Amino acid sequence: MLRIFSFRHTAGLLRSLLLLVGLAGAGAAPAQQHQHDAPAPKIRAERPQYGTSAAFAANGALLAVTRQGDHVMLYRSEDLGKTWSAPIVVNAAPEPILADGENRPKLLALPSGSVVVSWSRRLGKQFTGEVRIARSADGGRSFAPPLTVHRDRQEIGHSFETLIADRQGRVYAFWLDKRDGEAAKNAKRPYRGSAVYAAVSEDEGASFRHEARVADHSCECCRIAAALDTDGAPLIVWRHVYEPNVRDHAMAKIAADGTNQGIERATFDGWKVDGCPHHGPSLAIGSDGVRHAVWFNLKDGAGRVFYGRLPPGRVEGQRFVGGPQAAHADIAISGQRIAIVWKEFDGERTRLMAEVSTDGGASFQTVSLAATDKISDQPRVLLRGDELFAFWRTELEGMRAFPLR
Amino acid sequence: MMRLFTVLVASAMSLSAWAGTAFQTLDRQSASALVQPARHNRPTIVALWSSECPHCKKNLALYAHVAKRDKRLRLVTIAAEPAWAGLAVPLDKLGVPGERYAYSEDAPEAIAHALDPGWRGELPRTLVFDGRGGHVAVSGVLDEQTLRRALGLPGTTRK
Repeated sequence: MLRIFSFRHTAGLLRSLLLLVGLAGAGAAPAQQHQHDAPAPKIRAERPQYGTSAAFAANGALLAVTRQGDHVMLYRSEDLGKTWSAPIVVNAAPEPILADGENRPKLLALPSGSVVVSWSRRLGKQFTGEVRIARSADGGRSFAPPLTVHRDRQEIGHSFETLIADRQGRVYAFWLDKRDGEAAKNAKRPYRGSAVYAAVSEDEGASFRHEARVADHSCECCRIAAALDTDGAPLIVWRHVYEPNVRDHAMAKIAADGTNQGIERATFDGWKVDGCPHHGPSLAIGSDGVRHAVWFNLKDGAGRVFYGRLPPGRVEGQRFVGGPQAAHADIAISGQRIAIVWKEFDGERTRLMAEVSTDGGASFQTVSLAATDKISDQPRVLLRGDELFAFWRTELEGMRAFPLR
Repeated sequence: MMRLFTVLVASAMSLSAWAGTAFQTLDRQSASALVQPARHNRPTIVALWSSECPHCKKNLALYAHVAKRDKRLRLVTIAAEPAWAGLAVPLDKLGVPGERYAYSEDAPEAIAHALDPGWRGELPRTLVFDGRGGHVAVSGVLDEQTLRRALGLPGTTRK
């Protein structure tokens, strides 16, 4: 144990040192963190994490949050990602942050100019964390100290959070929570997966008044998708664990106090696996109430990204998105325009691909937007007013935005 | 500061050498070579795992158990992430023997595709070679009986 401790201690020192090195060049965008002219150490201090989220602020600036050492950093671009400002430190006090795959810092840019940033703070034990939120009342120039969203403070899993604001300015946080799984384990009862929890803030994330369990038995490592329904209430979709181990999706409407207004099954692919898909869904709802979704599942022996519409109790128009290597799709809607983005390995390079519809989803045009040779993050669709953009961070090219016309 | 950095990197590396077998890195070429069925003339497990995958531990524990019981078995683990200071800890804790690989700086999608084009990133993923040219790829937690059948090994030894 002593040896393991000293090993971890060394890793911790290394982490701190790398943070110092990283902060010394804080004016550079994340792509420039890697010095390609210097030989990289064979063993990194920690797992490389490229998880980044972006959103357009009310004034049109593109904001992005990502992790740098033990800090979440907010970057700002006034020219659609061509150049980025020196980053703002979101959490002044350092803390371990998860920013990998489906679990990454998020941000909400509210019409009032406030910016809400969330992340999962890693706790001591493996697979444990807590959901943190920090608010900026000045458009992301400075942040109040972060708060922990959930009341449960056990050293267990609370992570994979998602944020959405409704038209009244309420901020909803949804996350995957292991408290019910832990309680079952202590009582020697079986429990499938994690639970989805919700908390609601009525002061733009400065505090959270309501907390509720949305559903038992979610998957443990897939992001939660959220969109506002036509009645203004959030609708969320997550990968569920149906008995005994079927990883299809479930959907729930959320009330203003965080409680669910009924849970329905959203997909019917029947992927049975005791494993971690690391591949969550995305949802966009039209003004006509049509729920457009993209998701990943293994169906008929092949893992594919799907698009479909989700009327209650069934899927309409389910089809493949991209080829057999398509992955991590995201979807957004603006009037009659719908955009789907994903990444896809073409045998040599990883491509950023998009499908754009201008007729409410009746037809889609496929376009290849970019390609990269090394590590790339999952792409996202962003809205600036009614314009749609793809956002993609890659190791070599940095953070970029691509208009989707 | 660079001197301190070098010392720290060196101590991290020597500690990881203590902690277990050193990781070898895989790029798309070496990944492709590693999974050629013709290369496996004895029962072989190629176990894909990652440090962020709770389900992976169950498989790694089973594979360590089977490898200890059956000396004909070759066990190869591949972390689907670049080597970092804490990566060996789960393998060491579970006493997982065998060659250890981690991703190189090559594109992760390219390495994954070279290992198994049917694999879409879900973990654990296991490639099982029976040593006679046959192989299967399985996602998720495996039971010992299924594993032994795929390996062409008789019997079950674990309750």
